[in-house]
Amino acid sequence: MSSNAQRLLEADLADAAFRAGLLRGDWALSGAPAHLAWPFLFTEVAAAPRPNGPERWLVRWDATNYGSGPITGGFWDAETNAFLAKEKWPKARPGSVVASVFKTEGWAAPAQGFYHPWDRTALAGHPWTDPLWAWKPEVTIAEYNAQFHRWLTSEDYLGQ
Amino acid sequence: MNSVELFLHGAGRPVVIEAQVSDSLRDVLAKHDALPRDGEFVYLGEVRHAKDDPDPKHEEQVPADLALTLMALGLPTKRHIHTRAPRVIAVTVEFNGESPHRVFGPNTTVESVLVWAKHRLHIDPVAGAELVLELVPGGEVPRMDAYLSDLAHGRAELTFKLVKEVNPQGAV
Repeated sequence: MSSNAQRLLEADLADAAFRAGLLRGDWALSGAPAHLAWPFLFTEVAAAPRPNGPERWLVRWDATNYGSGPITGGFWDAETNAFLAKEKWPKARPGSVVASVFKTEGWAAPAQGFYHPWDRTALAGHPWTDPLWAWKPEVTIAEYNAQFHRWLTSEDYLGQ
Repeated sequence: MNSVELFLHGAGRPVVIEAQVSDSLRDVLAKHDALPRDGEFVYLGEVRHAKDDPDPKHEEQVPADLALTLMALGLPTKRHIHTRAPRVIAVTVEFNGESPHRVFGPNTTVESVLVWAKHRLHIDPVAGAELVLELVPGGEVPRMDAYLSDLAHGRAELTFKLVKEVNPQGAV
């Protein structure tokens, strides 16, 4: 039987916000929504062309508690079926938000999560309560992918 | 291809709808209780300004002819229907005491407004990479792929503030 979180995720994967980005090519969903290996799903997020960067970045999302709190995720290596080695994570202009979100050292889940208030691994011990940037129930899987697409097409993104 | 997946904006939150390409736009809108009322228009597709042409001079669009079929209107490619929209939306962007102003089509993306605003304010794209648009009032930071029609809720004007994106640092 599907959990409430799983039903919410499946509904959001069929929702306009996610489908529009998918059809536009901003991101792709690996596999059919009906065959998700709950609580995990994979999306490939399109990136800006960089001399040493991939066209798309594979992200594995752990959607546990989806809809009632932040999920988590990490860049994924399809060949080793594990988190991407930290030296292969996206590079960004030092001091930028993009560099901060994708940083792979100096916090609780380096190279296994995203340093951002929308990632539950980054919340422990962090009073990230500013309502402008904090996670809220309106932050769906579409918002995660749209935000990542924006960071990966930002001028601050430097490639791999 | 007889059936097409479309996105309907302007009649509540954006929704996915399925329709036959041989259907008229009027019939599709009527089926979803989304026909425009007096003084309202329907626009199709989306306007995205290229970064190398952030302030195009000629982009006024003609509202969609509701009598035409979805195929004749190019909706299998355009995908997005913006109903109950004003003819244009007047946008003001506030930043450092300046407030440039421009009218956009309702089907323009927030990203296009951001690109235009940085151009008008002479902000270098690299130096201004962390600047995003915040809605005034409200303080919401909309997605780059959001449409002005979704934010205006039938109004013909929108105000944004250009703000620096922040990734709050935790007190570890």
